Amino acid sequence: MKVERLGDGALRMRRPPGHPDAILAAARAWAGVVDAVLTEAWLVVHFADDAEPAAQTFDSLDAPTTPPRTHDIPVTYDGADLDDVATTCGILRARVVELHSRANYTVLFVGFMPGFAYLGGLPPELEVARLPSPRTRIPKNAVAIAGPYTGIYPFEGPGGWRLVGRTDVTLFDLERGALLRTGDRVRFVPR
Amino acid sequence: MIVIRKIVGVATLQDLGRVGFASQAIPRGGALVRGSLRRANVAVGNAPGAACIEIFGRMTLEATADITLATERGDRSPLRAGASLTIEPDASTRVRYLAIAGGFDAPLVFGSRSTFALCGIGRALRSGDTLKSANEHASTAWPPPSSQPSRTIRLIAGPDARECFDALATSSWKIAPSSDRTGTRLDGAPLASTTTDTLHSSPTVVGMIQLPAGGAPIVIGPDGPTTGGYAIVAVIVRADLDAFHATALGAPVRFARVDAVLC
Repeated sequence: MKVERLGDGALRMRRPPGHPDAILAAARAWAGVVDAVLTEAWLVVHFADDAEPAAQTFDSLDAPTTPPRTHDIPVTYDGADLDDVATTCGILRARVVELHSRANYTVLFVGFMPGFAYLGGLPPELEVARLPSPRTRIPKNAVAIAGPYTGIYPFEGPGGWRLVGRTDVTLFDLERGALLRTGDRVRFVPR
Repeated sequence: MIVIRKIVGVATLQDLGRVGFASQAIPRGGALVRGSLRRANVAVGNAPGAACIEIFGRMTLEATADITLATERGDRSPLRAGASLTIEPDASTRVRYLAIAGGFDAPLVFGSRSTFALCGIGRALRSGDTLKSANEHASTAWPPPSSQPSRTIRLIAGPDARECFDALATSSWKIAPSSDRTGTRLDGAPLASTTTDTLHSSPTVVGMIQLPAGGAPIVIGPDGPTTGGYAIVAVIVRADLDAFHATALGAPVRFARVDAVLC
């Protein structure tokens, strides 16, 4: 396991194979660790201010015995970029909706803003580039796609993904935190 | 206990932030200059991490009861009900802190009272807001933390854009006026990099220096995103983060490379 330093307070390594919950729990049990974060490719482990970062080994990263958390997210497919996406992909608008809502997605990681889940599993026919110039305001709960990912904006803010729809699910709550966690399964249900 | 009469700039409640939630993309948050917050708190008998008002600019308040306040200078001062106090900008520091005996009260969200307005955890303070003390006094007296003298900021090389590290560490930079709690931008001659976008987003750390296309470095602040896809050129040494973040807008910052691998 190659370990890189991110300054003198954190370590970075390739994301180990295994269930995200198990990886994060194992890393958080290391001496002096205060937090651990996954992206698609990396694991970063944060250490306390007075701790000297040192990596330990992972013993077992087996999936928890409980089944994966699965979320069915209702989506109204009326996004501002839906027609552009259809044109870019060379398919009908209805086919975009069909492809997007029939796929099974996995939360690869949560980043960018609280509760924003990068979902993997987008059909390759729907891969489109980010907008050349990001919108300054994307509405809360917009469902969007970019590159190999799809995701939902939990809060209003700037963003460069292409908007295909919207939901009314609460993605981030001040008591429960993020609805979608790394490793969760997601399906979109058109309505 | 106090009512805000006027704010020119931005003032929010901050403590030492919330640690342990980055996998939900909740940033650490908390005071930009942690030692300054600790110093203000200890001066009024609080635990070092009690909530203070963090002030970028100028703020005037009025006491609505007899209270005791202190700033990051460690200057404890009682204020009578009805009396006013103005916290003026200080050219020697980017941000100032105001502590009240007992700590400012606000709901604890994910273990912290720090404002993070993006997801609805509090909001910037406004004229007319009233704030009260949480009345949480420290059980022991804490020694006042030493102040951060201005000095060189040590950098450890990051995993990307190695060709830019020397130039970053040796060039002249100034703290850009557009800097905020999300990130501090550095003004100077742009760095020429061959790798500005990495293939995969990486988790970030506070003090990480990213290099977007265009070559103007950005230092991730306490409210910065928890993941990012820009090249990571360097990371500021933990012990020097306060000195960096205390550097006033427009002021020069001097970096130095740390070559020794410490771990």
